[in-house]
Amino acid sequence: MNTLEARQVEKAFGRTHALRGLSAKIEPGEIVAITGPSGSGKSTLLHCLSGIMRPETGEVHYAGERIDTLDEAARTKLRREHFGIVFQFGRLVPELTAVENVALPLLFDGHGREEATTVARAWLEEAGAADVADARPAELSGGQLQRVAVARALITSPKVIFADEPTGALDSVAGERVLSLLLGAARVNSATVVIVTHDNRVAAYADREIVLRDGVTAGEVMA
Amino acid sequence: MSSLLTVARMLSHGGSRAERTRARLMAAGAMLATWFLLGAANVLALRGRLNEWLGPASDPGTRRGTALALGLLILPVAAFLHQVSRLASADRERRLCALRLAGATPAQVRLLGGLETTRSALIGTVAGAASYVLLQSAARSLLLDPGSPADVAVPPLLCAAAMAIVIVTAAVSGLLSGRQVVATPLGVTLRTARRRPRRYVRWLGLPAGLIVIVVLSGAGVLPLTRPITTVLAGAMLLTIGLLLSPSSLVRLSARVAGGRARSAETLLAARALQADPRPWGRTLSVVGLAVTIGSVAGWEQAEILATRRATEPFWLSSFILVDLALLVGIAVAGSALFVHHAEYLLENGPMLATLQAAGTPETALRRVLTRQALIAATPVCTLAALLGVLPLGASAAVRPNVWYLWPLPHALLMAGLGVAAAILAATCSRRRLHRSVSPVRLRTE
Ligand SMILES: Nc1ncnc2c1ncn2[C@@H]1O[C@H](COP(=O)(O)OP(=O)(O)O)[C@@H](O)[C@H]1O
Ligand SMILES: [Mg+2]
Repeated sequence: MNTLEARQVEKAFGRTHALRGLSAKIEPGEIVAITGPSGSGKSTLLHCLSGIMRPETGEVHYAGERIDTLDEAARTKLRREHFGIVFQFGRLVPELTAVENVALPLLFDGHGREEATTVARAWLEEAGAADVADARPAELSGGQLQRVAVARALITSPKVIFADEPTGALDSVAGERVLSLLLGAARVNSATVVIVTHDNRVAAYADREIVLRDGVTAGEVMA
Repeated sequence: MSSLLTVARMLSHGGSRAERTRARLMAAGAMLATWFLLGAANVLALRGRLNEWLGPASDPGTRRGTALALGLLILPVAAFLHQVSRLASADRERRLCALRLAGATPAQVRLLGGLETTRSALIGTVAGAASYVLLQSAARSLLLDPGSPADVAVPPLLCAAAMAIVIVTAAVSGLLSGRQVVATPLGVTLRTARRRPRRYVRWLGLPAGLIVIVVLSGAGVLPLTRPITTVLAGAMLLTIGLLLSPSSLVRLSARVAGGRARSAETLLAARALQADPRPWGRTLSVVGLAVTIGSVAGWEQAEILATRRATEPFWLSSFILVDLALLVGIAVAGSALFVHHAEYLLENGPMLATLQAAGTPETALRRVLTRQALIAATPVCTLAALLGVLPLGASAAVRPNVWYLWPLPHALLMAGLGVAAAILAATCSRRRLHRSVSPVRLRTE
């Protein structure tokens, strides 16, 4: 099964030890919130779990396979086919319209433009952003940007969704909408969700909360 | 003023990586400009008839034209410098605000900007002049027997004038570029952000084209003995080329490519071009000019070869020198594209890193860069080559003794070189791309 696991992971940036021997196990279909004070290593953990970064020591396993030893090309392929990733600021391509942005992962996968656009429109509809499908990122509000970014992450039906403070820049109403979109789609696909947040209300949606402090787990809270 | 110099020195120590690169590239551009100007001055200082292998510099009659051609090489350098001045503008703007917040007046901020540019120009010019004089005197003592009429140094006065031209131009453009940004303590607003060119600017092409023709023929570069129709036709087409500004051609090409894109790479490339075609247009107009001149030169060469059956050293080395100068022009303009890539990557680093994090392979992102080059450079270079080939080809049809086998491939080669320079610039940006998509760029402040 698609279990995600970090074992004794360490990662340093120069003299800053972001992670110091951290272990965590996330079961398939689980919704896990990673919380902790700023600078405690939440983002770094997310980057290591999703194969964006390689830890210096320790192991990262996904679906029974060790992924931190894979080369960049293999990890890229893994991320494209199994993971969906959302960051705090949507970071959409500024020159492309919303629907083109959402279609990108399919286009990169070699699907035709028409097909990719059709699917992208459907996802935008799902995300409640159909009305801005042909607008460019600069014309969108923060909440709309984030919903488009979530649609882009979901279009490949990922097995695991990683989100780093996806509601951090939004007011509570917009944040709520983004979150329910993300979790709703995850439930339908029975996908795993790993969500970094410092918002207690977001953490309340999770099955489990992993609290970090100074690069190690400081505790766990079960829902 | 002296306290301002102190601030400038403090700032240059604390500059970001991109800003240091900017200063270095500016100095390099100033150095190139100095070389070309000193070369021109050097040619002007020659006296009497010299060895025919010196090509157009050997004959007093073609010497002024040669100097002018060397001077024209400043054009690609200017395009390069303009691109460099846009580099790291985000860093600079942030710093300008900080200065205003710290109590600097708008005039002082502008002056600081001018000082920075002047400093780079000064370093580049001095290094350029020193290296030129050294190399040239070494070459003279090694290659020429003393007493040869070619054994001349650059006259000190001309040397100083060349250096002054470069430095003053840099200072003025540094001050002027600061005029467009209004740095308030709260943030920077571009007073004339990305303003569209005024309507009358488009019509400047007509007189500009004519002036170019007149100056070129006056300087003895274009033979006025040719049938006048040729010159007129050439002037008209050149003018049309100048009117059809490459920026709009690039935008058009990008729109077509974006509409038909089947792949994500082409779509991304085309849309990025369409959103900001001006840097490409500026640079490619210089490349296009070189391609046009090169295509014209191809006919010239064929005709001379055919009519004189000339394999005389004068003509052969003239051909080679002209082609070499065009190649240098294309290469310098191409490096301006490299600088533009650097700016694009600097601005879009987090966005590209996000795409990569989402599973887009880096090779695909590399293809985005090369496709930008193809989409932008192909139409401009093709049009430029056609502009060079058509009018002279029409007149050559009247005189069938011209050797066709040379000019057409030559024009094709020139266009190919233009496109190749753009693609090379994209290829050279790979390492920078690799750094821009590193996960480090995912951090949010
Ligand atoms: N690219 C980097 N370069 C240097 N230090 C970094 C880098 N990324 C993270 N850090 C440092 O590692 C620590 C953990 O960072 P991060 O994982 O981003 O924390 P969080 O997301 O919990 O705020 C912090 O002290 C941060 O400054
Ligand atoms: Mg973080």
